[in-house]
Amino acid sequence: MTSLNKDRDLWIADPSGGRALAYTASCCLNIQIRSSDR
Amino acid sequence: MRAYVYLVVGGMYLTRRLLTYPLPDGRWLLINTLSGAIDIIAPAVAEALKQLLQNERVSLDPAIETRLRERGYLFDNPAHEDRRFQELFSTMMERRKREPVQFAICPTYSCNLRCTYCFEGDLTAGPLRAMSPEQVRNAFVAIETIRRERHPGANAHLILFGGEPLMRPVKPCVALILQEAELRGFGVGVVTNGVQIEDFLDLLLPKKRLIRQIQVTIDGPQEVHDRRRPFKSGRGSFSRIVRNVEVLLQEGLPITIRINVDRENISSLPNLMAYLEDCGWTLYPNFSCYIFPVTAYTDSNQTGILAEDEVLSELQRMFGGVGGQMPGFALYGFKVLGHVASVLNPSSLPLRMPPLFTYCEANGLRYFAFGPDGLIYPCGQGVGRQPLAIGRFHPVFELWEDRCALWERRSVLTVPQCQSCPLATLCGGGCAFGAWVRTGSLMEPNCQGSPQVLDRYIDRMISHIMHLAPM
Repeated sequence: MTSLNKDRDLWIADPSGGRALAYTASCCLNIQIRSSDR
Repeated sequence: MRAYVYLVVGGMYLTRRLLTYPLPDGRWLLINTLSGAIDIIAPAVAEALKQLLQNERVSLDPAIETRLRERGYLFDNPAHEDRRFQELFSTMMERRKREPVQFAICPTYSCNLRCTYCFEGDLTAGPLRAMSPEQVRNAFVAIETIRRERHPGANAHLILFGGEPLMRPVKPCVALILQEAELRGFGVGVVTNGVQIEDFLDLLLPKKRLIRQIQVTIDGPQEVHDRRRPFKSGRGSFSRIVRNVEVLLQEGLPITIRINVDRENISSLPNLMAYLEDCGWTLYPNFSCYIFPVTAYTDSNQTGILAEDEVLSELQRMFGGVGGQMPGFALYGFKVLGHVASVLNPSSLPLRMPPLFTYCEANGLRYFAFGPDGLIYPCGQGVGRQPLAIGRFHPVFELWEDRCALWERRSVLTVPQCQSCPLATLCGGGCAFGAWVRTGSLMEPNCQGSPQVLDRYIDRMISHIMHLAPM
């Protein structure tokens, strides 16, 4: 069995670590939100 | 041996959230849409899994069985699998609460361009109607109330949207929006076609620290862009946009060029990228660029749409094959292939995707668009379509809870056809707005050929996949 992604990258291990950008990628605008924003 | 007997007795349930692809050498590619695992298994293991799918008992090498459990393929029973799925869903929903809420203000629905693929259609062509100062103030009252009552503690971000927000007749309205945003400490993003930016410099430059991003669309070299994004008169918009972007870059404002790609313009990308480099734009630290596939949110006026696999295939052909690094631009808007391509070919899609229990921020009500009609919409694609409105902010503020609930609840756990679909966490149930346009219901899936897109992508990548894991 050859795993093409690492165990630590599985969703069940870390569902969204480091992936916040994907959620801010709306259909019309892709923005990197700064943590200092309100 | 004892552990093995126990597991057989205790049950060995193979997840149904599984996509399997036989490889030419007898091995299988597995895509696990519960755990996110992507693996290649030997022919003997494939045979065993086939038996498990038919609910037959099998003997597995204990080491393989352990590995299959670690990777989220095997569970004790269906309830065990379901519990893990619910846990993942809950974790994602908790994390989503920490994502920013987006508030889009449309000073007008009108636009001075007539882009061939515009999803807003006739909405942009009517007589110009701008938000009144009172509407702008009421929009901010609504924003503060929504934040306080529905999303306490979440970051928020303001977007100037439209129509085209940077048109001369709505300049006083834009000035007031920026002033109100500054008072409240909001960062602001601007989605503009860029043709009249020169008339807004006196507003934008003094508010530079508020501006998180100005997004301007350029769809190709001049000839291609002008054909796709002309003025009402039919005249091209390219030269004016380029002149304006140049000024913004020199002034240090954060500029993002968006390239909407479909069948008509994708082959011109190398020329556009060369042009942007020749202009020296790519050297600016405040410059970025991304590609977004034109998407068929509605059935109208949308010819030449490229599916996700077709976009990736074309890009790989033009920019150096399957392992080639995409030069100078990011790719967004990939849903069903997002996770799979980021694992199989991270040079094409380096952004790792989470499981998509929802398609976008509209589900979960984390996006609110305010229009000059005084209505609040849950999605940028749906602005101006009154039956989609979820409330109003002028003359009084109210959210219509029955409509809000539909958007808030829509996920792959609530759309009936998504509940047992093995692709669900890859596509998030599809665009809700598109589902509504096609079927009149938000609780329908909007598959848009996702299974075929994934199948075609894997087919095209077969030799690359086998190269990743030589036998």
